[in-house]
Amino acid sequence: MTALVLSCLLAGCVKTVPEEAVQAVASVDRDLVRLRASEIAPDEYARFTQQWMILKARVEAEDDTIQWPWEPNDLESALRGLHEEGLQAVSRLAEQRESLRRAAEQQLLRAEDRARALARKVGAIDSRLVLGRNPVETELLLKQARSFYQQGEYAHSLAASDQAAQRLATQASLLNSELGHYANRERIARWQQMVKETVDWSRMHRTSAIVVSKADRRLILYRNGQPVLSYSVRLGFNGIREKRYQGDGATPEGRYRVTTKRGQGHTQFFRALVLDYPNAEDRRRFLLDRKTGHIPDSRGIGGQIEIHGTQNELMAASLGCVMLENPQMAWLFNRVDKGTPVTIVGALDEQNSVALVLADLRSHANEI
Amino acid sequence: MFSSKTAISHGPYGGTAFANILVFAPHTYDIVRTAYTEESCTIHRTLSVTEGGELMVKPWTGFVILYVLLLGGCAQPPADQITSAEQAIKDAQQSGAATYIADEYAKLEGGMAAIRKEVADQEAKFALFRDYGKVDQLVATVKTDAERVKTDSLKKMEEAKMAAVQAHHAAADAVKHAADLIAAAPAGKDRAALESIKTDAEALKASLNDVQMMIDKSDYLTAQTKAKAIQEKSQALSHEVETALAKIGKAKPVRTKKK
Repeated sequence: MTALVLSCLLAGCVKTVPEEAVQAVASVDRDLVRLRASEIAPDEYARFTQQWMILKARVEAEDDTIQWPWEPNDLESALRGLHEEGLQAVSRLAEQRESLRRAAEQQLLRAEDRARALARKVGAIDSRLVLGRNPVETELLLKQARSFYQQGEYAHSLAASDQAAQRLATQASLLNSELGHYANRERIARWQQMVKETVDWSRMHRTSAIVVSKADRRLILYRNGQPVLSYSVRLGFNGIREKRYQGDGATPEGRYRVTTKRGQGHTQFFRALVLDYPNAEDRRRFLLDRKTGHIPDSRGIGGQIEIHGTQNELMAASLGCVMLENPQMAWLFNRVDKGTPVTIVGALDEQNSVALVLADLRSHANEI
Repeated sequence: MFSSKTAISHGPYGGTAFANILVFAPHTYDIVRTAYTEESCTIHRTLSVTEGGELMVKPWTGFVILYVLLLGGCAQPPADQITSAEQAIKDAQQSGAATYIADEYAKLEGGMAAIRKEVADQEAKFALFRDYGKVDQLVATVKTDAERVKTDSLKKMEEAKMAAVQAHHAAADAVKHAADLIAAAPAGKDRAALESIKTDAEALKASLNDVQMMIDKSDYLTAQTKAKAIQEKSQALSHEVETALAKIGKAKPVRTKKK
């Protein structure tokens, strides 16, 4: 009889902790790991894990314990409570991770778009070299951001995109610093005055004069004060900048004259009109720049600036000269004499291509 | 020696003392039994034998027993073991576990929290009923896990380092290849484009140094990613130059003029 009663009682006993409660929490823990909870929400994950480890220790300690069904089971309640909290954390973190992914994607796309737009604008005004190493460094950052994004490292992707965006802002700032004079009214007014004086001289002396606009990449021949031809030209490989020293690839700005005409066979560039660069103003500026440390001592002022044709079809830029297609050079060569004034200016008006690019970059600065 | 239960149950003091110890604090009962045996001389002197052959406990024996119980019942937390577990976790942290297997490291810290809680729970009990057996188990588990996590972390860190170093070497090879091609490019090519390519190549070379710095600082993930980006860009540059070279054949270099 006693044995019968004992058997009945034992049959009604239950283990302290049902296995499914333990597995449920373990499953939530795996979900949190998958969501990288330890990285995204380290404090929250630490709290969950601590509680889980404490309960897990209790579970292991009471593994062989049984109890009456009517006895309160605080361990099971604690596990179920932790499971609930964990589920909420999973839901929250999944949303957080998705939000982070979207932010990383948007920032990356925005930065990539801005980089492409900047590259287009910079290419349009041939000012790539003004930016030095910045474009490559920006491109590397964008590639890194893309790679991080593809690996699911959204926080890293965001950081790289942010750095790229800062680089883009730096590039815009550098362009403004180096080419800002193309948007400077006083400077433009000075250039316009130089052109006017050249044209007036042409009218007064009933002869030819040449005006070159760097921003427009245009050479205009005046005869008796009237424009008679206008040709598209190529400049130095760094032509858009102000010339400072020998080898910088910039095309100088100033008032010059043709000193020598070199016909076919006397120049490797088909035909050439040699200018009297450097003039007095160029020398004065060079000495000042050297004195202020803007030019290394090893660099000379340069010379041999010409208006010339092309050596071959591959030459897209000169070392600082003004370059024409050979047929156009031939036409010009025959209509220009020694002593013809050549005025090279940055731009002819405020709405020049460089000023427009700089204005566009300023207006989009916030987007970067 | 004698039947302790029988003797005490009939003694004038603590008739149920031993029975209670056996039921509620069996660990302490063993200590008491051991102390009792060790103190057998003292205890023996406290006992006397009745005419019926039963042992009787002398009046002041209760104080002795209480003294032994208190000494034996006051279990102490395994402080050295706990410190050892903390050190094991610190070792795991220094191996980079928080970076490379952050979730496992978080579990170690959780285990440490469980130990501290268990110690606190035992401390909250009456001294006689404290039992640090579970603490011992937890400490052993944490130490084993910490060792495993440290090993895994070092392995992952080494793998990440190898990957970063290999990526760096691949990037360096690509940069060198691009530089060699650029050096061979004819000057008659688009001068602006060539200058631009040269500037890009210099930037890539400088970026290689950044990768090395990242490896030196153990930032292997960023180093690897940057190295791959450098390699891609270098290959693109090489392709550009190779295409130009193929187009023009062996063009003569242009004589450099003073500009």
